[in-house]
This record gives sequence, C-alpha cells and structure tokens, in this order.
Amino acid sequence: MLELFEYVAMVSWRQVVMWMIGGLLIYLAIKKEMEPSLLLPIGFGAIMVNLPLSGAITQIENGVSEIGVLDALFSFGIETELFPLLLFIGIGAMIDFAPLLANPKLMIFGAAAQFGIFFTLCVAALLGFELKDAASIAIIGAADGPTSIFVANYFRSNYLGAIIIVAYSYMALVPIIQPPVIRFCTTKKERMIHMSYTDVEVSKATRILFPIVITIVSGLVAPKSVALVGFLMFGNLLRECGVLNSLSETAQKVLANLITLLLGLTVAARMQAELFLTGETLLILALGLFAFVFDTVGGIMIAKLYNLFAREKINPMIGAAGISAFPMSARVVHKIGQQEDHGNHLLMHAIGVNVSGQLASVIAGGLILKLFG
Amino acid sequence: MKINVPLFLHAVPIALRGWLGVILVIMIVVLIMYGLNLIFRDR
Repeated sequence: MLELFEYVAMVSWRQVVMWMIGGLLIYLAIKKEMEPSLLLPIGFGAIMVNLPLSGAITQIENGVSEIGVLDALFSFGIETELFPLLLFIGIGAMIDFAPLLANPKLMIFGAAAQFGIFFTLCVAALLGFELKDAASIAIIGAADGPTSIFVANYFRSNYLGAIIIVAYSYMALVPIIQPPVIRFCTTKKERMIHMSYTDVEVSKATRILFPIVITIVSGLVAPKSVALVGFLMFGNLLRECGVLNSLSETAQKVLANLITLLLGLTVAARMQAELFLTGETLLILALGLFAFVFDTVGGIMIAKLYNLFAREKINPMIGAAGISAFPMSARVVHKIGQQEDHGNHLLMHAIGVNVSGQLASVIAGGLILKLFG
Repeated sequence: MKINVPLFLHAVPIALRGWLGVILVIMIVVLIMYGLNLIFRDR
C-alpha cells in the first residue's frame, strides 16, 4: 500500500511553489479573465510538469530516455517555430488594417512606441544578461505573445518560460500599467486635445496590396523577418482578398484556437521549478514592466515631437496606443480622453495607432533577429 | 546580478539602429501606402 505514495516524499518545496504559481495563473484566467486562453493552459501545464517524475516531460530512467508529450510538442511546435507562425496566420486574418490605411501617418507612432524594446535591451545587457537573452527579454515590450515566443526561441533563450508568462501577464495588465504613465507624460491640456475624424474609404486594391508591400519591404530590410511578417500578412491577405472567406474564418477561429490551446500547454514544458524559480525570473518580471512603460513613453514623446511641427495638433496620448496589445491599449487612451472631456472621441485614431503597433512590433522582432542573430 | 558596462555600451548603438530601423521601414511603407491610396482612390 505504501508504494502508492512513494512519490509523495519526492515532492520538493520548489515544485509546491510551482503548483501555487500554476494555481495563481488559473485563478487569474478564470476569476480576472486575464488572457484566459493562454494563462489557463499554461497554469495547468505548470502543475503537470512539476509533479515528481512527471510523464508529461521527458524522463531518463535507467539510462533510457522516455520522451514526454510536452517535450515532444515543444520540439515539434516551438523549436521549429511552427506554432507561433501558424498563430500569426490567424492573427493576421483577424486584423483590420483599414483605420491605419485611411491615415497612414499613424504608423509612425506605432514604430516610435517600440522604443521600450530597444531601451530595455540595453538595460538588460547592463544587468549582465547575454545579448541574446537581453534581446529575448526586451521583446516582451512588443506586447505580442507569438513574437516573444518566436524571438526567444530563435535565440534559444534559457528564460523562454519566464519571458512568455511575463509577456502574456503584462498584456492583460495594460489597463493598469498604461494610465499612470500616460498621465505622467502629458498635461491636462494635451489630454483634452480633440481630433477630427473623417471616414475615408480604403479601396480594395490598397487593402490587398498592403500585406504584400509590407512583406516585401520588411523582407528586403531584414530577411530573417520574412517568416514572422510573412505569415501575419498572409493571414491578412486571406481576409482582404474577398474570395477565401471560409479559409479566413478558419484561420481566425479554428486554427487560432487550436494553436493557442497547444501553445499554452507546450510553453509549460519550460516551467519546471529548477528552470523557472530563479532570481533572473524576478529580473525579467521587472524588465518586462520597464519595456511596457518605455514603449508608452516613446509613443507619447514622438507624438509630442510631431505636434511641434504640425499645423493640426494631435492628442499625444494616441502615441501610447502604439503597442501590440489590441484593442486594450486603444481603449485605455479613449477612456482617459473621455475622463478629461466627455466629448473627446479618440477611439478611431487610437485603434489606427494600435494596429500599427501590432505591425511595428513584428517588424521590431524581425530587426532584432537581424541585428543580434 | 553583475553590472556589465562594456556590454551595455556595445548594445546601445545596435539597439538605436534597431529602433531607427523600425521607424525607417514604417516610413517607407507609409510613403508607399500614400501612393497606393492616391492611385486606387476611386476604384
């Protein structure tokens, strides 16, 4: 009878801490609805991989390696970069670039808001992380889970598990992180600036050519970004071409859901206590927050710079929406605008910048691969 | 945690190139999109 409980004695305190972290992720997913489609499978997976001699991960018994299913999924889906890329097709099919195409200059603010990524990279290097790990940590600032997974995995970062947890957690915390930063960087007068909106019709040809142009331009600048940008844009082309609606719907729903499900569980393979419970994980948590804050600051500051030269002033808060967390960031900006002045409707402008942030974060990921790969 | 100033100094110019690179790529795309918007405005 006692042999039934022989593994209980093998439980370490670190594993118990990981069960608690897994439980916390599940709680946040269910109770607080924080990125539930990812945090729930990640949380459950964290519990699975932290059971003594768990069959979910590879174990070596008597010199013989028994491959665990989560490690097999990791080798197949993440080391090959297949899962994040397939997810990008679904995400590309979900994004409507029309608000951006109607006013292309908004793209500049999305690009500017990637400042946090590159600033954090320098800080992480200063704190002693190797350049490839620093780049993997900094990409948390992209506020884009698949890009973080792609880049961290490309660099074979030792901190993949922590980076992904931090990236998805902060994405869900955008409504808490951004408002104080926006208020700190702008005056009340600036927050009250109204922006006129005219509904510009975007031609179908422009919508179709956009994903092709983006892929060619970013591919010529950073060839390593072709898969990253190309899969996102391919998804968007499925959406915009008008003749593949069923494929577009499948990519948006079935494909994205299936990959998300597998991705969450698979990522947990790198949440074993000995890999996850380190001082570096706490540092990554701090650096991730740093990246989000300085993304917001970068977007606002470039918007302020634009106002120095523009005849028609823009509300600098829309620069803060230039991160990939869609549509949370645009909603945050719109809400603050409304709090200052009920008649201030910034949503459509902020959505345009937010969409450009999605695009710019992927391009930033591609450039990081080029510069540090 | 070990402060690594030489690595930081090495990283700064590369990171700056990265950020300016993102802005440059996006500006090229902006120009192309303005052009496409003009060409296909009424079609």
